[in-house]
Amino acid sequence: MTELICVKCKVVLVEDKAELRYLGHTVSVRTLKCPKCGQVCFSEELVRGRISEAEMTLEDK
Amino acid sequence: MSATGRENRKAYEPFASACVHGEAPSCSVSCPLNLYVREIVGHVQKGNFTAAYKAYRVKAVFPEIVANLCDEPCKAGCVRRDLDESISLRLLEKACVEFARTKSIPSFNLPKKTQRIAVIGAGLSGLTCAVKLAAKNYPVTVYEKSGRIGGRLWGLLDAEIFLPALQAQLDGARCEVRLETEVASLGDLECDAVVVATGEGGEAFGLLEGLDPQSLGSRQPGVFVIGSLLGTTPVEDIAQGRIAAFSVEKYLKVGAMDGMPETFRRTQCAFEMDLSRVESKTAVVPQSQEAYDEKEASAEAGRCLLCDCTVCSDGCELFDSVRRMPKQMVSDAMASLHATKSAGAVRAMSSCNLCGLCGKTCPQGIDMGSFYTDFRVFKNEDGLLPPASHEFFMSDMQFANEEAYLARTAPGHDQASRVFFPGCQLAASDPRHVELTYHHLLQRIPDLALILGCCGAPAEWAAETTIRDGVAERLKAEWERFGRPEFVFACPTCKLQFERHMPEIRGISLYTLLLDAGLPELEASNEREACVFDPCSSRCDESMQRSVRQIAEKAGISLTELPWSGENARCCGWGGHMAVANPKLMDTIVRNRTSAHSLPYITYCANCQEVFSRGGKASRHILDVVLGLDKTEDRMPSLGQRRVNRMAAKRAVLEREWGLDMPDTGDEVRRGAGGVTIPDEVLSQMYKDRILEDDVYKTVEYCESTGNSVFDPNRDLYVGHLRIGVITYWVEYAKSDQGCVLHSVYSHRVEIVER
Repeated sequence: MTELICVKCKVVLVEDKAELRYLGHTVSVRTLKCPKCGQVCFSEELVRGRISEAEMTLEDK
Repeated sequence: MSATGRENRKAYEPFASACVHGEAPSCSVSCPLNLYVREIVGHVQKGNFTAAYKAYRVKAVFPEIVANLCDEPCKAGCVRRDLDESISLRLLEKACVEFARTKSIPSFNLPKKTQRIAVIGAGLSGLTCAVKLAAKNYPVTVYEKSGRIGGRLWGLLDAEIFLPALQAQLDGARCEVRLETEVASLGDLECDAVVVATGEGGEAFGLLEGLDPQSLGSRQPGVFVIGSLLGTTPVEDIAQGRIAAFSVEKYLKVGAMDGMPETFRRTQCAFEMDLSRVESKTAVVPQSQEAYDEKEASAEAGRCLLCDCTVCSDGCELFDSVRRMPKQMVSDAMASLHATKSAGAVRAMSSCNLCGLCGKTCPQGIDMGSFYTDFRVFKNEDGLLPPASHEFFMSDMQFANEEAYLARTAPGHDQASRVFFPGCQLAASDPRHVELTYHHLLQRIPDLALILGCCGAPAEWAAETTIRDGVAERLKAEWERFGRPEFVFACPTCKLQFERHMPEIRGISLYTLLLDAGLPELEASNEREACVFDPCSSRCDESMQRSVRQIAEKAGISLTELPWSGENARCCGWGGHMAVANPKLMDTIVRNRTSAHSLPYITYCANCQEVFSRGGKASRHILDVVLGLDKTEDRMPSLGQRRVNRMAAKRAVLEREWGLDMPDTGDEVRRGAGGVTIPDEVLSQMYKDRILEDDVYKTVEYCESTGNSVFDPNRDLYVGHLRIGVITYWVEYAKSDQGCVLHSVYSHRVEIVER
């Protein structure tokens, strides 16, 4: 993955987990996160791929 | 939920119970065994002879015997009979027997039963009944007067064929055959049920009078009579043996002699097949004269139409998309009301365009559109409607009924004989449609009032009944205020919505009125030939459909009918808001509609027109023809532009007809207060994703003002997100001296749990 920089904290984002909540369920995805402020960054690929699939799955549950 | 609410919901359980999909086809009802022909032949079509053999054995019980004895009554029932030749089912059955890789009989490890069954007679019917009951783990004793099993089969078939077939089923079964044992009186038998199968001219024990011909139960409790004693053919022996096995089991369980109706012989086919598009194909003749090889069998099976009622799924892509037919749709939906899991029921519900075509074409009148309309209300009541499915459309409706709303009597009038109601989508796609049409009509109908707003259909689709009723109440109040005028509708969906929820208001289609009151001078249209695409909501409005065709013809356009039009009109893909819930289905529908004919389309629903144009299909609104508007140079309006257009229509009529000024805020919507540029290709993707420009501006502004963003040095882009309502928007943008340029925007419904 490319290096991304948190504009606020001026530090490089590191790989971490992000929690997602939807329709009473909680799931987590691996993504990049600012180690200082916790800001996450989702790529378009992640959103249109795994997150969209997760939404569909949770809606069908 | 109230008791009436629960009762009301319960009433939907049998909604699709009359559906005949999956019922026996005409070949099957001509067969005494009611063989599962569709399943058998379906497997042979795919070359799976083992699966075909198993499906065959369910009802044939002794496949090797039936395949040799049957005189093919199915051929008289086959729908191909009058087209070319009936399917050679018996040869296919023989192929199943010949080519099945395994014929092992499954054992289900059922609990051992203690009630004993006596079968009198080891002929075909008695043995069928015996092995079926033994398979359910009842102890069965067969009493045979003679010294051998098989009964009349000895005179019909080679013993080398039938003996191994009978023996294979008896081996390992919980069934004892006592040869040379004559039963003189039923009272001698120590058992809980008796099946009399003594053969032609055999002992009937005085049981024939009052015999139930379906369950095969006699008047004497626990005693059943089957087989050639009743004058059956050998194949009927097997059929009766199987039916009687079910009847015996019911008797043993609940004491009733009336059998299991679902196992009774069927003789009526519940549906008819439309053969108008079936090509003629002659039957495959086996090279060996007597039997097919595998290839020949599959080729002959390929001629079989696998007859079934599929009228609903033939007309609508929903059924294939969610892989369900009405009965299952209803049972899944009802089950999901009581469970926390939806198991796809909500997806199916949210994917339905609610257009009602299935109900119109179904021989039983089962309208899944009306079912899902009500079911959406139940789900909404339970708080289980995914909120994002309708979010965009509801906010669009709100915009149309607030900022863009207008209701005025004609200049110089405080009452109206008629009111023009163009509907919210018409102005959104092209404000000139509203401005020019109203101006034209006003010359002919000086007291024509105008209402710009939404009819409430999006609220209906979103199951927001309170909002829908609120819209109707407001429109009714305007109607009263204007002196109860007749409504003039440009959009068939509005017209339908009024008919359903404001039935006291009379309405007429704009196109009928234009023909009546006078059209503008029509310019010769660009296209000489076209198809009229009837919007699904016009399906029951023959007069609107006719008027549009008359206008097109007056403009010199020669019309060709689509394969489905008029009362079979199909939805363009917009209906019911499937775009968010099932974008793949919408793509499929748009592709199918646009490719139905190579000629350009003329339609009279702004949504249909827009869906087609975006799908790359040359299409025009009939008002483009009426008003002589050439749109070939025009870009499709973005979602933000659609709102600008609504405001532009309102401004234009206020200025032109009432001499009132209204500020133009279009540029702000186009560029945003902070000056963000959105390239065309991104706008086009945003339309597909239902993302408004305004939400992009808000997100960029948030990132810029708070510094909550991430910089990607490789791409020289800033990435940030903002939750607005039930949606999280992500923007990727570049910064320069001129401001921000959007690179990409994407969104999701899940919510990020921020630390």
